[in-house]
This record gives sequence, C-alpha cells and structure tokens, in this order.
Amino acid sequence: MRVTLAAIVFAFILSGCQTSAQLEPASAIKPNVASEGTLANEKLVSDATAGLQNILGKAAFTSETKIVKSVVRQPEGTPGAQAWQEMWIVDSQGTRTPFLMTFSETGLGSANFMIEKMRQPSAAASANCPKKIGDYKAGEATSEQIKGCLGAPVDENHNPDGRYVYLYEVENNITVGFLFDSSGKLMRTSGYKRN
Amino acid sequence: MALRRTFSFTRTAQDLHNARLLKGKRLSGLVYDQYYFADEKTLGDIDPIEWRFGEQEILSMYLLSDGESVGADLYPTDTPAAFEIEPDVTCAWKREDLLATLSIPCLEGEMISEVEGILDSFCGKAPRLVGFKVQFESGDFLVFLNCGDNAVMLVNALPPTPVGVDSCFVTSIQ
Repeated sequence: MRVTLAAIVFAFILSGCQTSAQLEPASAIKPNVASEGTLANEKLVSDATAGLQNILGKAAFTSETKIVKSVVRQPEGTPGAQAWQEMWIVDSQGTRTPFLMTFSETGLGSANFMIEKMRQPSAAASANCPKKIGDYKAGEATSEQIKGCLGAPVDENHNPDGRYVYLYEVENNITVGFLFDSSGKLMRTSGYKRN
Repeated sequence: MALRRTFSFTRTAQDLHNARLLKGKRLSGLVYDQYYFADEKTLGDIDPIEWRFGEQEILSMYLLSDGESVGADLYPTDTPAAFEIEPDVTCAWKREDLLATLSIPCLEGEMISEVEGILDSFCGKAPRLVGFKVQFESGDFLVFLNCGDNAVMLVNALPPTPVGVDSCFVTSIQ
C-alpha cells in the first residue's frame, strides 16, 4: 500500500469531532479483548511510524522503543475505499503516549493516514469521588462527575443522536469507555483490553 | 477470523446463504454472550448469538463493522475471556440461554421452516442486510436485528420501518 498523503494532526482530539463519516460511532464498539496487531501493511506502518517520530522527536525512538498496536474500529467501506482505526501506544523511556490512527484507503494500493495524539489523563480527584471505576453506576453517575473525578478523558466521541463516549486509559493495556445519554447520565461502562 | 465482523457488500449473499442453513433444522438451543461490568448485567444487547441444531451443529449471527449490517457463519462465537480493570472490578461475558431470557422456551425442539434476510435501502443507496427472520413451523418467528449499537431479537414482531427506508424480506441476494 503506497501512502499518497500523510496528514499529521498534532492537535489534541477536540470535543465532538468525528474522525470519519464512514466509521461507526464509538458507542457501537463492543467491550472486548483485542489481540495486538495492525491491519496496515509494512509500508504503511513504516510511514505512520515516521509520522510519530516527527511528533515525538527522533530521540524518543531508540532500539528499546515499543509501539503497541491494536485495531479499535474494524474496516468499513468497499475495497479500495476502506477506513479503519487503530490505537498505537508508543512506549519509550518509561513514557507511554497513546495515538489514535485513522487509515483511509484512496484506491487499491494507496492510503491516507491521520495521527491524533490522545490526551494524557489528568487527575482531578476530590474527596467525594468514588474509589473505583466500578462505583460509577449507570443511571446515576454523570459525565460531569466522571470528568471531575477522573480528569479529562483521553478521547471523547459524540453521536448524532446526542449520546457520547468518554475513553480513559486505566492500565497499560486496558481502556474504559463510559457511554452517556444526551443529558449526560451514564448509560453503560465498557472495558477494552489489548492482549 | 480476524476480519469476521468486517462489512463488505460482497459478503452479503454468503451471509444470507449461511443463515438459511437453519432452514429445515430442529432448534436445540439459542445462546448469547451476556456482558457484565462490575458484576452487573448490561442490558439491551444480545450480540453475538449462537443457534444450536442437529447433532451439535451451530450457526452464529452477529453485527458487522458498518453499524448497520448483520453477518452469519458456521463458526462458534468467540466469547472474550473476563479481565479485571481494577481490583474486584471485572468485565466479563457469560454464555446465557436466550430462549430463557426472552421467555420463549417453547421454541426449543421446534422445526425451522424458513429463513429470510431483511434488506433495507435508504435514499437510493445500496441495500444493507440488517437482519434475519427465522420462522418456525409453529407459526412463531424470531427476528435478529441490527439496531445501531446493539443487536436485538424480536419475538413474533416485525421491525419498524423508519420513514424513507425501503425494507424487504428476501431468500437470496444476487
């Protein structure tokens, strides 16, 4: 797959942005255990990795640097016009930096990619916050409360129907997604593990 | 199997063909993977399901990656292993009896007389296979349907057709 354009986005993910009209909303992603891996071919991986080096600086990439890749959204579209999304985590010198990688084919054998640096979680817990993520109950907890207690999510994704998802990295290989209704009430919590 | 849930228009005919392998079979069980977060059942989604029939034969139905379509094949569903997100808080899946959940145990042992695909098209776009209708000799029928984020099973009820959507039941797709 030849890369015709590498659109590198340094900005943090903005609230309410939709990465691609072709991809299903984050609310449709099932809780799951995903195997580590990528759908990109060697050339695309190489170009996307070069894009990451531009963002983090070449010094961040040593022989010890690991990039953990997993598919977040399965491909959608017809062959030659497929889009899919992966999370790549650069593990370098004790720092883990997550990126959301959106790949879009622009014909058979060519593709665009977009790199979005995900937010680093910021702790803002107060004494009134639940001790565990499992204590945020559906129908009771709100997005305001969760953001106040867990800090800004690493990603948020809004549906046209008003529902939205906050994603938090809770462990090296585990992401938690909170789905809220349009009024901000928690509907359900999903866990995603990368093996 | 990695791309089992990946949508493409080219797979639609095969998905319907696979689902129709249920025709003429006697249902011995219907199970699904129920998701639990922190020991609490998350309601509203039955994806994926596994039909059991004949001599230990199975057929799986599940949602596809486009958020609209359904797929079917003869492989078992791949139930994820439970994992802990923090001490004493787990994400877990349990294989549960869908006939019991839907309060329709009477369908066990019933003969399946017909299977149809539900094709929806909107604004002249290519139609999508959004569900399967499974008819029993008793006259009862089940509809496995993609409802966006979730899969639902309707019992003796047809899915509502939204305004502007053309919906039809088919037994084959060219």
